[in-house]
Amino acid sequence: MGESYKLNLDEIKHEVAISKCHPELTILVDGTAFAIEDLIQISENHFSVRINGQLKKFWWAQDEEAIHLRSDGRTYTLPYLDHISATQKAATNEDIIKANMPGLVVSVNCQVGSTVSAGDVLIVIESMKMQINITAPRDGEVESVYAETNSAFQKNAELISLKAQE
Amino acid sequence: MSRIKSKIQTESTEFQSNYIHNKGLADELRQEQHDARFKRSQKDIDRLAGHGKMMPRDRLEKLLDPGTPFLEFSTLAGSRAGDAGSPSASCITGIGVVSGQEVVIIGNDSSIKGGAWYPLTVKKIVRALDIAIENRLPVVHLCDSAGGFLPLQSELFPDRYMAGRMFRNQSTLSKMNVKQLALVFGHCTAGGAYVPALSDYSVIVKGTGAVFLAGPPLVKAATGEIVSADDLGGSDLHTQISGVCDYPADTEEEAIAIGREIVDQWEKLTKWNIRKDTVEEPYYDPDELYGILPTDIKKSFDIKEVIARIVDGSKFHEYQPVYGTTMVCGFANIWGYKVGILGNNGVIFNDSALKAAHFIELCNQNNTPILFLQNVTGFMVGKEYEAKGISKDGAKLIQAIVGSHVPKFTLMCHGSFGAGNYGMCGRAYDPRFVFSWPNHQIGIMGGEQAAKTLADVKKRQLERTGEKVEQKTLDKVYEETLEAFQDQMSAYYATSELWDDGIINPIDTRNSLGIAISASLNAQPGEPGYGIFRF
Repeated sequence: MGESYKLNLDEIKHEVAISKCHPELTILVDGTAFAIEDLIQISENHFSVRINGQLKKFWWAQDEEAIHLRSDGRTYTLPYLDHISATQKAATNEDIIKANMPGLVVSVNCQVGSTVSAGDVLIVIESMKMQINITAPRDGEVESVYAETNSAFQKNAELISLKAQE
Repeated sequence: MSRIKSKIQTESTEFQSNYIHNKGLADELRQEQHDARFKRSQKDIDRLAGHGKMMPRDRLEKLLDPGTPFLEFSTLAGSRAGDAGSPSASCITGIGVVSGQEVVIIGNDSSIKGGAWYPLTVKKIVRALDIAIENRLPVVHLCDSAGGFLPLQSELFPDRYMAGRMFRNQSTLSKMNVKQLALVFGHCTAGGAYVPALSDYSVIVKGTGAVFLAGPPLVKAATGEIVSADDLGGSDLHTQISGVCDYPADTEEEAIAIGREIVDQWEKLTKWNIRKDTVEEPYYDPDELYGILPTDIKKSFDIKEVIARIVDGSKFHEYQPVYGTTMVCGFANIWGYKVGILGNNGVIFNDSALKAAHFIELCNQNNTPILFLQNVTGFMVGKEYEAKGISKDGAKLIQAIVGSHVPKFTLMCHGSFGAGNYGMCGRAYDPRFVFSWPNHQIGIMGGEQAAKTLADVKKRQLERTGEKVEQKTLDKVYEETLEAFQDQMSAYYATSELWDDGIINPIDTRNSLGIAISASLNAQPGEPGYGIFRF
């Protein structure tokens, strides 16, 4: 069996794979084979297909976030997983925001106890002739503010910390 | 590839104030470009009409295939050069489509001082011919020039990249089998005579067109011979007797029609076949670029927000998304063409430089043209970074750029300072095209830094000679330096001096790049060849 996909349907996890043993398209769901035949496009988003000899009609649409599929009076949503964005998220999910280069604090835009959302500008620093916005890596509450306006800091200095997540 | 998720809030006051500022800059740009193209004194307009000549822009319009775009270069060249300047540096250059063929067009602007060559005219024409050489583009010359502007001859005649270079470049094109056509509407005097003589095909208009090494006044001065311009180098002489020109034309319109028919005879050359996918408009509106670019050169912005408004479907495959994050690298499509993009999100550190060098190698391996989006204050300074070898990492980046065989394109989005300009493929690194946005600033360092440095030097100098150090004196040095830097750092000064191929309105970026990429593919690829990387 080749690569398999995980399908979460009504809270039940299934393994879905394409069988390599059959000349026609055959899908294995938890090991059970389903033969897929006669895929016909009826109109732009409307299709019909024969699954194990049984005719099924379905509607299909795609946006940037997910594939939406409607069949037998139900709508199924299959979200995409963007692996590259996921790695970025994981890397910035820290509680303590540190300076990645030496510089000067231009302004502090938050205080202890502030509720912040991911992307909010917490402080503005200046280094190498550039003003850089230091933003909240995630939603949370500000625990401590170490940065002071007009004060200099070294690389790796702690500037802000967010309250640890549960 | 997934779509970039924009974090821009178009309702925010920052966005709104940026938008007003940058839209204003774009409007000023449009007005200046319009004036450089069309604003002429009535005297000049009447003079051309009196000779039965078209305005140079009308010739261009008639030459181009109807409804096709024209990518004009350096419209504002010469605009900040004082007495040595002239509108558009007295010539029109760009890439257009003639009889279905992409060509470089070089037209003298005879509505300014008879189309005389100023120093920046020569620089602009030499650059247009360089573009033809680098991209193997045929050239159509629209000739109507009084020759070199004599009072400034020392600045346009003798040096390596001055007037002689035009004919050297024309000869180089010929050696490369790249075709040239000259349409002679007016005079081609002195060196100008070589323009049609070095072209493969030439058409000359009866009555007004003339080609000679020396015009009637100079002939009279040299030998005493009295002769009319038409007898000396007119259409009949050159098409019937001397063989300098090929086709006579009764009118300018006829010359253009013959020229278009000549280009139509040319073999259809195969372009370099790089990967091209289905074209998609950007998902995010390029108009929002106005609200993203800050009003202050020191303020930063996320370059991915810019990428999202240039590339097809706003889709971007980011390379090394969590390494050297001040250098954003990744693949995208522009008008369907697969490109590699490098953009600055802050100062260049060791890891950012290494990442960029590696990504450039990947693009070369993959035959993918490279786009550099410059907003850079330089490489990181300080003991820690010197100890890590920031100089040798920067050197590797520069070598990777120079060793590239794929076409490179550079867009000056905001700041371009110090060695950062080199590391991001500045003008000296032979990108096929350099375009700038009107908010762009360029210099060896920022104006404030230079002013502080020079004020400090002055202070130490005074202290050494035992003179009294007055704050007033230091302030004066600071102010003067800052002012001089600010003038010379502006996008307008840069484009006036031809440090780029023109300022473009940010919302036109995608179209300009599309034409530039398409044109660049006329040259077949070479092989990448790198020097010795210092590891």
